[in-house]
Amino acid sequence: MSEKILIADDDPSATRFAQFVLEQKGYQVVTASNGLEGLSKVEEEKPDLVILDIMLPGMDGFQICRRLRAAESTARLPILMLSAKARESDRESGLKVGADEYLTKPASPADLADAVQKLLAKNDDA
Amino acid sequence: MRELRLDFEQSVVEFTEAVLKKKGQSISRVQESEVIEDHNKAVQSILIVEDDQGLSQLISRRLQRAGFGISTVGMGAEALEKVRVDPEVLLLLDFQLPDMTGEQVIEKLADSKTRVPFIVMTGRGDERTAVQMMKLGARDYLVKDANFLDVLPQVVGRVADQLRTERRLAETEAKLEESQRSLSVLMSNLPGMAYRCQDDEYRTLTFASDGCTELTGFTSIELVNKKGGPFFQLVHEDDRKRVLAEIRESLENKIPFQTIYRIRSASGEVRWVWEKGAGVISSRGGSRSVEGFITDITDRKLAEEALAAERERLDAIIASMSDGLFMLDDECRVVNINPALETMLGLRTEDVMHVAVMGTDTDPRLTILATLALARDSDEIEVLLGGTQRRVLKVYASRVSDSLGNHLGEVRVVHDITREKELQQLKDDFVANVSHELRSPLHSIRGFVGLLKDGSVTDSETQREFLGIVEDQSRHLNELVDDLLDTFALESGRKVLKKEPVSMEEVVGNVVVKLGTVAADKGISFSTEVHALSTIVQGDEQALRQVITNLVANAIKFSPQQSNIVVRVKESGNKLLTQVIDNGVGIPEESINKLFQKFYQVDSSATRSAGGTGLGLHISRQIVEGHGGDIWVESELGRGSIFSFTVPLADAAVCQETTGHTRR
Repeated sequence: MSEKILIADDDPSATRFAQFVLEQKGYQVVTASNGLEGLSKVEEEKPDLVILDIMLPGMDGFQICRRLRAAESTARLPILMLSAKARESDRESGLKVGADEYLTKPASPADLADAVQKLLAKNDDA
Repeated sequence: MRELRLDFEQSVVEFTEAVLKKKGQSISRVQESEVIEDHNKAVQSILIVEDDQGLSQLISRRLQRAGFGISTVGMGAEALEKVRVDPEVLLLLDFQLPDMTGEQVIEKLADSKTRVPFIVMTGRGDERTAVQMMKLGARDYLVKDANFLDVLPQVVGRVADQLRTERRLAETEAKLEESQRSLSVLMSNLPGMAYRCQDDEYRTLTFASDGCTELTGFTSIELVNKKGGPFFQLVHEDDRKRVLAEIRESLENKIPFQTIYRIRSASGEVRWVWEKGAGVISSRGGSRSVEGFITDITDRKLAEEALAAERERLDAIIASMSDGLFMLDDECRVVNINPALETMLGLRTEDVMHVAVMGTDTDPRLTILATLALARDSDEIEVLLGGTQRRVLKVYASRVSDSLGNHLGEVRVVHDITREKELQQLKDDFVANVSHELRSPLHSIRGFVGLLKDGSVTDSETQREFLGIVEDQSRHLNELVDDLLDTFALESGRKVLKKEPVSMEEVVGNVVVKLGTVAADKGISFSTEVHALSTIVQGDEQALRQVITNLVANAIKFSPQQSNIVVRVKESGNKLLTQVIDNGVGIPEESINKLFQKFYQVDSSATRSAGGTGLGLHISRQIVEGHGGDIWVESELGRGSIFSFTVPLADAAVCQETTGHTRR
């Protein structure tokens, strides 16, 4: 059974791009366009991995990340932050609130697929 | 032969004394003892000029006993020589000398300008000579009769007393003269005048030292004892009343007074003077007078005034500075604080003046001063004023030293850079936003083009979808660049708005037609209302169309399906009010003020899904304000929003221009 990935991003074209790349790799993809929708999709869809944008309306990526880490059911859910924020401090903030990996947009299809694959593999090992 | 003669003389003396005793001259004895006592203090030396040695010896013994210093000579020439050596002697001069007469001796002394007191001794029955000698200045005369030796000490004693009195008088006079001379020299060297005046309303002078001429231009003769008080008339008319009152008060309290006032000198020049004086009761009693001293302080006063003016100028500079400033002395006490700093920090000078700012962590206002005092030059310090207001202060620190290099304290100039910081932050945010906004579509285009190029998209439907995304993103990028250029052009003033008559009704109509299809896709309808005699405004048609397009496009974006948008045009004073009213989602209160800022988006996903650059409202505000109008929004969450803007009506604008001209 293919793993399910949730993409939470307010930019439709960026979402579409990631979705296409990951579907090609055989993953199942669900999407959300704001923070609240993202959280409820985690509940409903029980994804194996979440790709979070930081600048989300309503609730930003950091807040969602903290919320997910605080809940027992999602404390160990692999989270990949994907943001246009390219400063080292943004990356540090992302990892600090509990993201497993931080990629800067634009990520190439290969980088995105690699990162997703690694995180899922690591989670399987653990 | 000589011894015989001595024996004879001796016997004469003894005989004479015996005779005198027999006569019982007890009174003369008493007198004699008094003389002795007196002369113990200042021995008068007596030169006996007598050629009769026996008599000379008798006289000598008699006077020695009376306490006089005695020397004897027998010749006139010897006498002259003795006097030359010691002119302080009293001559007891025999009239008949072997070498010259007593008269000749006196004449010779007079020739050598020597005045020596003398008593002349004449023979019995020679009173005529005595009278003549008295005329030449003899103090007294003695007749060599039987009483001669008896009378001798009395006469000599009296003359000696006389001489002593004369000498004392002369000394006293000399001293007085000397002290007067030195006093007057002293006074004439003083930079001012000493005076004595009556205690009357004219301050009538009874004495003025020579210095009055230099001070007033009048001599003391012109001022002293003159009726009508020419001296007090010199006092500047504006100062007279005050000076009199001050002197009066001091005199009543019996204390010395000091006062500063102006006088008009003889040449009409106004000079500043300083007077110190006190009331005195003269030793003869009676009326009170005032004594004192007046000196010219014009130079000092001018220097003081210049200093005060300089000080005032410096204070004014410090007070008018827009930057805050305070100074601490070397013990960290506040010695100067300017109004700008008071306002900036919400301090009151009286609360902090002379208070040491270090080590006082109880008072938060002082804590801020301490923080600023500890700052190094060019430090930027963030402070929280009143517990809420965050300000960024730039501190310029400098030490203050006097010309000798002694440390006097510290000066801090405090520049509030909060606004600059905010502007800098806005600028930084803007740059970050612009780059983010430009990059997003570019990244998207590159990503999808990459996918299409490397052949990973195989089905033609997805290919078309992706090409559509690329096309959309390119168009969005184009809009962004256009809007950015508009914003820059409007901000920098490079884009000049035209001032032509524009029919707002027509512009609104055009926009509604143009956006009609977009609205129709969402099932949205328009209604246009015009409540104005004329909708002709003074402005730039293209720019105004851009504003209305922005507002209507926003309304379509945020309106639900199947709703109605009202565009209303109506007069509002000398302006035309245009409103776009929707029944959309509304705007949260906290966003209303930020709505017209660059790149501000209430909900970025809504913007993204509906397109838009985040610059539309900002540009609209720039355009409206450029027309001299206002733009604002009223909104209720869930109920809808009303965007309104005003632009001057053409007629009103023409009117304004005309009145503007006639005023000139």
